[in-house]
Amino acid sequence: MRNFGALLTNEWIKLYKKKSFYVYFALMAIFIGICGFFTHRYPMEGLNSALDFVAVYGSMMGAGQILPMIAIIAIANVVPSEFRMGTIKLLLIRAQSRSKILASKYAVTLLFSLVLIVAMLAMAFIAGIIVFGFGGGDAKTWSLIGENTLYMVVYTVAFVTLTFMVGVVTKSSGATVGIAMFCIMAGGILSMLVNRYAFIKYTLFPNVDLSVYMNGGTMPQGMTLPFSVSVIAVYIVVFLLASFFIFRKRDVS
Amino acid sequence: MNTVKNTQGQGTAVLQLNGVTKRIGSKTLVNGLSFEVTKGEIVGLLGPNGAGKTTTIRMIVGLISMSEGDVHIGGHSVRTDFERAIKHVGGIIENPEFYPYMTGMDNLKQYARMSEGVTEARIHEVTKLVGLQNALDKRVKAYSLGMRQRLGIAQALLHRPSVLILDEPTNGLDPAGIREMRDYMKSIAQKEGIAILVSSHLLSEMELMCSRVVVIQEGKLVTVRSIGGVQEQDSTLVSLALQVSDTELARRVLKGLQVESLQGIEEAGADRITLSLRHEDTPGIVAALTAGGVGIYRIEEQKATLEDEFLKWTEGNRIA
Repeated sequence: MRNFGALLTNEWIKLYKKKSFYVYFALMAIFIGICGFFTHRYPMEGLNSALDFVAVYGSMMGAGQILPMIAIIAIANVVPSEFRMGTIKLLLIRAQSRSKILASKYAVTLLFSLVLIVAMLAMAFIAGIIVFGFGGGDAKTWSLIGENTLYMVVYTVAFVTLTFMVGVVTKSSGATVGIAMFCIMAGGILSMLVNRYAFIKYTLFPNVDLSVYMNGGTMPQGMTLPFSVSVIAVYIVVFLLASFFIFRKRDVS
Repeated sequence: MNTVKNTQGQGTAVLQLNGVTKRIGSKTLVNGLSFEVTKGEIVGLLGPNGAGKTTTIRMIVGLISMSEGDVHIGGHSVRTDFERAIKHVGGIIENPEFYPYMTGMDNLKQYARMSEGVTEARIHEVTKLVGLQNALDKRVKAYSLGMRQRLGIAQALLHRPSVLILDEPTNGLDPAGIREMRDYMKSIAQKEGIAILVSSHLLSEMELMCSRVVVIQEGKLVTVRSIGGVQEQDSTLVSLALQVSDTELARRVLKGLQVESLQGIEEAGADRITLSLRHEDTPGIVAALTAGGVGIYRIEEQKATLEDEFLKWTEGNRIA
């Protein structure tokens, strides 16, 4: 375990020593800042405390529109950059199995995504305090924030895992970002067609945003929350199996 | 093949290849390659471009999988016991690549964390050995190629390996850098008893550095030669080139001599004649030629270089 911790430390250092590391958080801050400005300028009904602000903008409809993309861009490079720089050769000739090395890389992409989400919530809270001051909000708001965060985590982890796999397969960061973005966009369109074609409900895209089931929301074709959760889980497992299988077998030349 | 020089190292093979084969589709890149490297020995892996040197080296360190055969390092199989086998290996595979946005120290720390028992003191020890102690706080992107090579050696030595594997280590180095590299390799092999396998296409370089060369072509073993040994074996006969006033006359004089060791008399150019003979017979020949009225302007010893032999071994084959 100490061993794995060391690998994880290495991967984290590789991420945060890059200048771009802070850019992702800055982008998030700018987005929250804009939301705060408009909330201050054009008050909305039901949005009148710092916690309300977090509940609205920390949801899939708020930061959920941009945060997964930032996460994808940030972690798309984790595997491809080793191939691009050639450092993969020195990385794989250590007394560590390839599985462990890839696992540490996946763990760090998850860790980064979670840190980004937590940072976004903190930023939203600060922005909320600036606009509304302290106070307000109740237990219901807190549980709403918790629920939103959970949806955000699921959505982000699903797409981050997809991106991770594409990175392992293509070894190219450009292609990885492109394909992942395409999946998000095309997935959105595909989800709208789920009414017409039943098979679409077995793809990842219409299932991945669990927030549609909030407050008794329903989906067509008999989709339910447990169904969607199962589909997401299956896809994540398949993506990971594919990544590990390919990475372990790959000839590095 | 096995000369006096490496009998002392026998039984301590640190690196052993047994019938290593790599096939991709119907193409066989490396075909049943077997050889071994013993403690403290520098072995060169030679071959024309596309002979399978890089593929072989990458199979040894596990970057490429083997289709058949196995490699044992320190007694552990690379196939079935990778982690324990690779623990004994330090490697530079082509130009050493590092994370350019990190300092030299941060890069070394990455590799230190991945191996057991590499302390901060060891990092400093190794960087001093390669003379990088003053550049450790600079980012690697500001390093020259020579500095990156040194950092490459530092990273390879960090975990006290018993085998060093270097793929074209002098690629892109200037003459001073190449010489420095060679001196490092020799002193490491001698002082710490580390076995070194190095692939290169710079034949003169290999000749100066290695005690043995393994020559491969089209993925197959051509020959294994002990470099010190080649000269020892031939030491009874010396090849000489003579610049003389009259090659025709010289040939006649030499033909008439009763020197048993004299052989291979050939004219080489308008005024040169080559021959081989025993060292001790040289003055006699010179005296006979002079007495026979042949003027001698120059006598040069002809040494067969590794390059000559290499071309002989791989003769008649296309250069990819």
